[in-house]
Amino acid sequence: MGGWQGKVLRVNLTEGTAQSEPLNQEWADLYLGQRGLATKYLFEEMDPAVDPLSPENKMIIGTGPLTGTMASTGGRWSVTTKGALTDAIASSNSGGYFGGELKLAGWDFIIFEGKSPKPVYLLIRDDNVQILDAGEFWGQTVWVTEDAIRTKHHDPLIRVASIGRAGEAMVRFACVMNDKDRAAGRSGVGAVMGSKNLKAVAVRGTQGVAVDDPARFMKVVAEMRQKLDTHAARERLGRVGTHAMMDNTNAYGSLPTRNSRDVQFDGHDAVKVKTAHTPRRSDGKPNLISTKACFACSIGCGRIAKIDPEHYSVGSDEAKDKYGKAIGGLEYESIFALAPMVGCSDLDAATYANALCNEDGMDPISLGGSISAAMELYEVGAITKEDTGGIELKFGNAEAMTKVTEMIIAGEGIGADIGLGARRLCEKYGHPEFAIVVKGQEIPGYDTRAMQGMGLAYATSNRGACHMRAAPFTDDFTHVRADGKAQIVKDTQDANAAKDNTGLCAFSGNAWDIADMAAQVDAACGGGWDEARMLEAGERTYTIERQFNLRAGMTSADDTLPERFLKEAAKSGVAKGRVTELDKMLPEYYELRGWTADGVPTNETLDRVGV
Amino acid sequence: MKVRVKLLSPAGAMPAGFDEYGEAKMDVPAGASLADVMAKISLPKEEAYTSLVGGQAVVPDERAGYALADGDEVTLLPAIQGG
Repeated sequence: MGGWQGKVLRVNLTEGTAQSEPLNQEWADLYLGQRGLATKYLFEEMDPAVDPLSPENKMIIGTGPLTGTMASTGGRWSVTTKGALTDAIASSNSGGYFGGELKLAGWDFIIFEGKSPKPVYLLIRDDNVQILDAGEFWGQTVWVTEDAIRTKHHDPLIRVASIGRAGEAMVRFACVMNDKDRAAGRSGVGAVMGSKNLKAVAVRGTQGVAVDDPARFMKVVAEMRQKLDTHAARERLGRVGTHAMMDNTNAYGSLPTRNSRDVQFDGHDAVKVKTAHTPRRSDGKPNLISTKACFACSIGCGRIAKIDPEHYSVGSDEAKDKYGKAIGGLEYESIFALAPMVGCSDLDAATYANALCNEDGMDPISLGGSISAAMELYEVGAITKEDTGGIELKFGNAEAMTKVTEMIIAGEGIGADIGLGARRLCEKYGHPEFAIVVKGQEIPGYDTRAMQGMGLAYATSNRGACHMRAAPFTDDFTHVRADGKAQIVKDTQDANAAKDNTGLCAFSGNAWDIADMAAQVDAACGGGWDEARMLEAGERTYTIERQFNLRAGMTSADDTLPERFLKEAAKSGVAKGRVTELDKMLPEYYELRGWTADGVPTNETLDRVGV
Repeated sequence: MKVRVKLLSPAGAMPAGFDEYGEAKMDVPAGASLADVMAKISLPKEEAYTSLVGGQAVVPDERAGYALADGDEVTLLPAIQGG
């Protein structure tokens, strides 16, 4: 048997202990790894009703059996916990090199319990594990912390997962970062890490990852690599990244704009991917200067950007030194959130705000969705100029957008309120209807009036609004209708969960189907992993996440969408005049899942899926 | 008649007849359908494509019966997954 290392590191931060224990192989056989297996551990070990920022919440850093192997894109890792933003199950998946390094150090999972009495970081060098004082790093950014830990331990190959000042301040949408611009981004997992006084996890691994059948594994991985590398989507992702999606959503009328009041953006030309690739007048260079790839990835969708040297954000020498060089660039979700969603047509302002997110660990989707909510509150007078300290927090004001981003990180003034996330912010200022969220999580870059399947996917996503939990894209981009979406959403939710259990990147799914992934898992793990078993594990994963949320106190009332999507018709685009017909899709979805009309899995369903 | 075709987010090299901005002006017989026009463009077989005429969606099943008019603007985009 291979793939799994067979070892879990259990760290009790309250007591300052770290102990090795065997991976629960019985559970691994049912859930495979990463997202599903980590949720199983949480479900069995903690009360889902606890406060996510309390010591009783647990946080699991998990890998899949293909993480750390030579399978293309096999570098994924997740942070699974109860989300600080959502009060629901959170499982935030990241690329970068940290996950592969953790596997090479010999560990499948790290389970964090309790809360340290003082800031600490965990240092793992293969079997040598230490909990060390992080006083010197507390208050530092992710960028400083990563370099400082490597310098302190005289090892440039140490990989670091850490929180920035946002996580320390428990900003509700704080991330856990690695490699300076790769994030376990959603649901506030960084705030949970901050609540535990855990600044960083530093790993250096020198072991390999054994596989069950090396010859078969190398053969199938090579075949799959060929299939992936010659696929049209890989070529596009490598060349223009995910940013290209904005041309599509804008043309279609599914680009969330100005807090989803609009579905197409009049400032699109200034922030579209073509503009990011076009040399500018100031220095003759484009915004996008290079690309990057994660561990074992042959796609390389990551972007490297450089802010226009004449832009206000790099006006000072200090800013120029930090942000005026090559930095992590914009992806579709970050550019949608930091441009159309806030009504700003300033590519460099979005690049700067995105850099701040990377530097101090914040989710740019939730950042943009929280600022856009604040802008709408400002425009109706619920937030005043006195509240903002004189900032004109209007849609389209890029300098205001970047200024409040700085204030969120610093916990200053209105920034502290926006850092609560859109739901809490809008409740505080008396307009909950302005929060464009599901289960407290800000929506990603797809308006659900044109993309009805995505509407159902958001409403039923166990971690709140998410575009990675289901994949109704093809049907949504070809049919504006409610019919047939329930089956597509249910099937792709299970399939995406199956992918998230492997350690592979979701983008490999453009070229690979579940059978392709199963072939690699089976060669690595042995034991009869085929397409059907992978999908069973996917459905089991989705169901146990649902059970976690129900035990946390959620009900079918939480399976809904922002009022705006249900009552305000799209003003333009292919869905002009339409709202999201969730009422037509949700009952069918519950039935397909084997849940009651109240969204509760029946005993027969629980028996069938093995939860 | 002439129709204008705009191709968004293409994979690989731009198909023949399209400029660097993904736009092409095509001469097609009067009464040509949307399916006729799409058949003239070399698109990756492994991806589904969304078709808009004048900004309004035309679903795949209706392309063959959708007669284009002189001056129509067709937009094609791959129905891809984002992230």
